Amino acid sequence: MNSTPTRADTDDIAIIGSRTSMKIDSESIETAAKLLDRAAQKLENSENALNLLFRSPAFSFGANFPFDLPTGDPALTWRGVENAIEDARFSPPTIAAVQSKTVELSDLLVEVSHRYADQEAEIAASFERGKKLGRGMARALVKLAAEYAATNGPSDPLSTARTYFLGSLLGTHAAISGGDMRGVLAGAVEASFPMTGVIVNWLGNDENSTAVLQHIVAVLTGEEALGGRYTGEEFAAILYGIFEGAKGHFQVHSYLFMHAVMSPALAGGLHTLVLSEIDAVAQAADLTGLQEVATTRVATISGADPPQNPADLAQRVADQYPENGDNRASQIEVETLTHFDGTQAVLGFFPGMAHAGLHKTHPNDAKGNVQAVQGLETEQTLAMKQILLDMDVPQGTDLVLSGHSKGGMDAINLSTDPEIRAKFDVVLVTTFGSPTELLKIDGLTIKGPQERGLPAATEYLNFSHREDFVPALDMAPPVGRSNQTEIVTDAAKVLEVDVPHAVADAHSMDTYVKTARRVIGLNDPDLNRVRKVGAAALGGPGIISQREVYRVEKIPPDRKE
Amino acid sequence: MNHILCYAPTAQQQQLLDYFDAAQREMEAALDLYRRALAHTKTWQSRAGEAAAREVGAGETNVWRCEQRVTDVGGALQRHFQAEDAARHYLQTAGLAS
Repeated sequence: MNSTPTRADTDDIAIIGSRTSMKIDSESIETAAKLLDRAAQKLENSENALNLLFRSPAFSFGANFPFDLPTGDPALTWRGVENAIEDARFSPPTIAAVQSKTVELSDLLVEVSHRYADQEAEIAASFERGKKLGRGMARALVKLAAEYAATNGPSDPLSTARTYFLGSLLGTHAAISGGDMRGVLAGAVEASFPMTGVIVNWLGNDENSTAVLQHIVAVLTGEEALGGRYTGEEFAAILYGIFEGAKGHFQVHSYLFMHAVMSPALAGGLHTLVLSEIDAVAQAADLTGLQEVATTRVATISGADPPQNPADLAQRVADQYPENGDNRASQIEVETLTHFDGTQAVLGFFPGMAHAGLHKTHPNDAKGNVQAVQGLETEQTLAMKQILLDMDVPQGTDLVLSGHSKGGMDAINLSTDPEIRAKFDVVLVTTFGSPTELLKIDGLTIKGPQERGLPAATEYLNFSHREDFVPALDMAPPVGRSNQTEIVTDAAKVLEVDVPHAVADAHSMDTYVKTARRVIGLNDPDLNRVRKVGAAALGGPGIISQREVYRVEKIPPDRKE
Repeated sequence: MNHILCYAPTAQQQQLLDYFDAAQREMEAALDLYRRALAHTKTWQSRAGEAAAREVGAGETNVWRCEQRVTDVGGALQRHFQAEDAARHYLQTAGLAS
């Protein structure tokens, strides 16, 4: 892959920062628009009053004197007043023109204030279309299952339908994450729906379920790129909608589908759910609460080259996915940098999701993901927090947190922790392929995006690929703020040319490392500001690095002493 | 308008003053509304928001210019009324008017 040629152009790179965000203060702009509406009326009133003044019969007063007024100054005659009125009414900018421009400006402000809302509305509409699709799929599957039962002897049609339904989705995910043939088989079941035509129905917006479903399958399998038809947020909203729509028909345990939706971009083939196991995992589960964690230091590395920029931070995050990693525990790292003047900086690195389902010991499973996207503490953040709070470093030491996917959400969530902020100066958080806003989940129902409140003293730098819908799982368009910079690029630019790429490729941390290296040198005001903050904490060559690698494992309740 | 004259305004003058006062009052209100709108623009950090903020700033400048010109009308009126008062005084002292 290293020898793969990449295109040098940067057309695909969008750096969304404080000055370039589509996110705006809509309420403020609409208030201003209303003020300008009133201003336009006042300008018109003023113009009318001047007009009355100009046309007033009283204007003739003094004009009929039998002699000149005792002055030769034209300003002291009615002509002077007339000139002043004419000047007020007709000299550029004329009141009439300013009034007209004010009306236009008010309209412009309303349009601007709606622009972001339109994006949000489109996402909400996608969610609704997804629900229709989910209901249609559910109905079709019930029918399919009944036919199956009639042909193959007595069985539980509903159970069979559920198996098909979940199997098709989970199987597709398995197929793209690991190339598992059983997953491909299950994916084929999904692909067969459009072929049988049993679920063709109109979803609105001139879209029918067959076309949408085909597109979803094509994106998940890498045959079509995400972004052509839907934005990542719209795509994620459709998937969530399918989940919500199908739920009512199947009484499917919500958690299962919820994490299934969140899991498809899993890199590394860790997905193990297959058809035969679906019924086994379709059981009630608690997606709340925290288990105790066991954190064990497994390696200490001294004298490594310290990270100098966000691209180096990306590589450190990638290091948390060792080739022969433990599938029962996550690996996190804390690196301490000692600068020439004796000051220190601490860096924390989080890997992302490793198990699509629930796992007894691995902290990056479905439960952790669902918790992280709600902004809740997870076992992995708990472990990192304990390590950081136990460190013997001066109060106010710089802290930099970085993470991939679910690990990025952990990094953002930990950066807002009061205890962490009391001990550290959290200067920079860098995420790769992570939802950066929150998802509101009420019980087991997805409600929609929820805006985060981020501390102003910390810089946030978030990388996402257009072909990766995981960062869009918060259903919120990328938002730039004065301390939040979103870098959105095409993963294809750093992947093999002319080869279809599955979502998993776009979500892979290795791909994000390449992207980070590709864009980090760009000259952009927001990026420059982040680099400056990072440089102060990270420093250059010669700084002493001490890396501590930890294994983090949940302790199952039945193993507790 | 600060109408300091030797004589109380005549009914005709008062009517003109009322028109002018309305023109000035409405223009000042427009300027005040623009300035209140402009105060909102400080939080518009996006590209679209910043462009809109610049438009509001330019609009406020134009309204301010219009307001200055309306003030000039008041000055012209004031000077004319003073001249009329002077004429009236001249006519009275010359015995040409009561």
